[in-house]
Amino acid sequence: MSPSMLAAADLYEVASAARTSRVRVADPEVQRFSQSVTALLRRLGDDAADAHWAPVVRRLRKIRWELATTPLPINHPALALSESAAFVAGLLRGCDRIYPAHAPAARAISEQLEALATSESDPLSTAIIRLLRGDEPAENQAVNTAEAERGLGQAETGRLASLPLDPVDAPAEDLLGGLPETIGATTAVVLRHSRHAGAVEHRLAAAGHDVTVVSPAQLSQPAVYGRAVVIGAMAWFPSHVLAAPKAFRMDVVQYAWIRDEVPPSSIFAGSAERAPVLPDLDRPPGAAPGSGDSPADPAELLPPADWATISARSAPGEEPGLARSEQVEAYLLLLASDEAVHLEADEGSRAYVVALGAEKELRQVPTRSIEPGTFLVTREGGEGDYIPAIADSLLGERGSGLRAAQRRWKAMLQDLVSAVGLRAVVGRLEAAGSSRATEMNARRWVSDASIRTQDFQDFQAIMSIIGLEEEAQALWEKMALIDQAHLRAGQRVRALLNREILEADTRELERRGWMDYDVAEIEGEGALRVARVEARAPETVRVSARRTRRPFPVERDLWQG
Amino acid sequence: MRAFEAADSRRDGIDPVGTLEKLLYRTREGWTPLPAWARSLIELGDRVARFDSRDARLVVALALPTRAFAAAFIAASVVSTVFEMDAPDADLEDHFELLASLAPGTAITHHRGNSIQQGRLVGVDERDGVRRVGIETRRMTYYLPLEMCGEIQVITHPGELRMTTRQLIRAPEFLARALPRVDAAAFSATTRMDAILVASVDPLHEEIVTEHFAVGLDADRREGNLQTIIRAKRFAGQNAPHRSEVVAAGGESVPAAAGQASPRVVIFDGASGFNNWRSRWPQANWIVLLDRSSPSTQAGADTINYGHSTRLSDSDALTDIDLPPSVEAVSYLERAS
Repeated sequence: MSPSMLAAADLYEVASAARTSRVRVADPEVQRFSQSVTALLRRLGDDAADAHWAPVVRRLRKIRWELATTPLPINHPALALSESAAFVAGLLRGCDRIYPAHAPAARAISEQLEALATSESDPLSTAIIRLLRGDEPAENQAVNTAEAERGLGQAETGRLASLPLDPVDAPAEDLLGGLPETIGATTAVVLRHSRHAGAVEHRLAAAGHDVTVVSPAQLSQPAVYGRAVVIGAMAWFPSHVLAAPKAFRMDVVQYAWIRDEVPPSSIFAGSAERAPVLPDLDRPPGAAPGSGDSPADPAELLPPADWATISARSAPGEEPGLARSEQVEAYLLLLASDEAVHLEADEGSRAYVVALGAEKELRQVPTRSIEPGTFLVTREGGEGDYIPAIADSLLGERGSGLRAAQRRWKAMLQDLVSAVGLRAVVGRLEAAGSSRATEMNARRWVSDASIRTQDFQDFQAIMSIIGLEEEAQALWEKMALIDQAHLRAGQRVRALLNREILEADTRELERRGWMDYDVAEIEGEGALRVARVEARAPETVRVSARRTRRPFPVERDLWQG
Repeated sequence: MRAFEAADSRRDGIDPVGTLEKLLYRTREGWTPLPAWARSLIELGDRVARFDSRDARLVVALALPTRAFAAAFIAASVVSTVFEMDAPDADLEDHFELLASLAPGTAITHHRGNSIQQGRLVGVDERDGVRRVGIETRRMTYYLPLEMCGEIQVITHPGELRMTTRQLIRAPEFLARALPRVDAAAFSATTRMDAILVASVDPLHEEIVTEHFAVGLDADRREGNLQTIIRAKRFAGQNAPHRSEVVAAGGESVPAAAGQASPRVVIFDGASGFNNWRSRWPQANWIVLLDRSSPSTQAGADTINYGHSTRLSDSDALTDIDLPPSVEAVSYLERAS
């Protein structure tokens, strides 16, 4: 679905008129904790990967990341700091004995965490509330691209939080252009991750501010707002958040103790020079160069994903027994549903994705093109991919016999490849009359994912070299039935997702990052899960073909994004 | 290399923005003239369509707040400009001789009023000292004298001829008033691939085919869609005359008619189509549209930046085009093949 002409006009109007400012929030409590985490990591060095320290480090990084990006009181149940404090204290109990050199630092950070867990301090949401009340200096109304910023001290934010709250200030009438006041009065709070979106909305609603919490991906859609408050360093956000603003007024609220690098405004070499939307942040306000109060590196705060451990979680203990022919190269994707999934990386592999941006549509795309921000269609529950499962359901009683026939010739071909090698098999196929026998095609024909060849001549050649020539025609027809069932299954999926997603309100899906859609008409197949891809492993991994397209849970500490 | 012609067009009294200037769109307050960003894209399409060089292609890349409608406006401008620059032979004598030189059986269209039908040439007949071109349609055989031979146009890619009569223009008044300088019947009756749009098909279809636009005020208002102007083959009926084609950005192949064409301009609506298909039309000028909010934009910008680093020269194609501040733009010349 494309935005209407009016929506497009609104987008241009907002993008041209948007004004951006930055609010820096000073909070010594969170800053001290962050510095302690950094100090501990430096002290540990390579020991951080040790089995004793790895879970501690992962949890500490996760806590720091959430505190830096989530506008909630530090002791809010959603952040679960009490549970984390107990977890870390438990793991560090034997530290004196195992790593005596690190024990004092470990004890200190454990105590710091326990203190944080009881803190009612709420620096980021207090700053948002002040902004929405219009409690800000005159220079913050400054024009486009000019930085207008100030520090909010801990004591000051605490005092302001107890003051009676005024209604949200709508942007000035002259800023709104042709847009109605109903848009001007809307406010979005943009969070780097949507995990605590509901809690943040409740927190701000309790303070009298009706806001919509959105993810950066949602800001790529046609909706425009009067105001958007972006929480965190801009280095953590995609460049379009500021380069293609979706609100007349963009406020970046971030901790003053985190350095920031604003993505460049220009993407083309040779285009007219464009002033940065905001300057970079080098040091906290008032801190002199070389004062020792060095700001945190935003990249260092970003939680890393432990790709190797995540990949191994997909089927622990399954690898050793598998034959080599069943191994495939696969992309590893992290999903907003706290899951990960492997997708085959070979050239012909495709998967259904849902585009929810300006182009709301369902499409099948090469797996290599699936990037973070894409909504991937996977299966919830059951074994294996959803298309074969639905196809089997459509085949009914014939299904098991047809699949057995498919498994039989596939296994025979796989055995032959294992015995003589792929190149020799290609040679035999050519000799048997196959006109498309290449290593790439042969690899595809061996794969469980392919049902039959495009052309009967190639199929006949395969049957010939595995000794099933007499059955070639019968098997070809059986495979045709499976093929047709797969096509119909794809049509069912398209119809379902068109109805449930493309023609429906998708705001909840976008905010939460994932949703399940029951496949009611196909009994026993569970649900389709549509989940946003949050990250993609930088390199492919080699996994069993049976492990692909099966989402598996990932512990939050392994992936903290 | 032929010089960039925007300045020439102004000297000739042709106002590039005059094209489509009467289009209205529906706002909260009612029908309103197109916003400035849309007019600037129309002007850009006109400008790029006029660039013609055997040795170089003009590349213009835009990073936009939204890709919506940009390709559609530019395509409408390209198609109408190219038609104006190179309309079917206005010299009827030349056109008559062209028809007379073609072999009997050559596929043609015959349009009269707001209807069009396909047929075949049957040759030239001379009676009473007057030469007439003969055509055969499903209904009858006609012999048209020189002054009426403009109703006959040769079909470049005849495909399967269907001898049926159909409405030539769905919204003739909308077209005539949107493109006042164009012979609407000749424009709609002839086929030539002046522009190719490489895009995600569904959203583009919605933008081009839905009646988002109008011309005229109140009772005199006529609503219409950009397909009336763009005449994309994919969105037109089978064998309907067309002036452009839409190629699926993520498709595995290019439709034959588009693959064989030598369009004046190719509009890449998004990075993936640009990176997949840009080498397919090396002789055409390129307009690359990148949505700043799309995850693939940087990949498109990287390709543009590489092209810029190996450019033949800079281009002044964007000079005096009043693009909005939210649009980043670059233009340069590349070797044509």
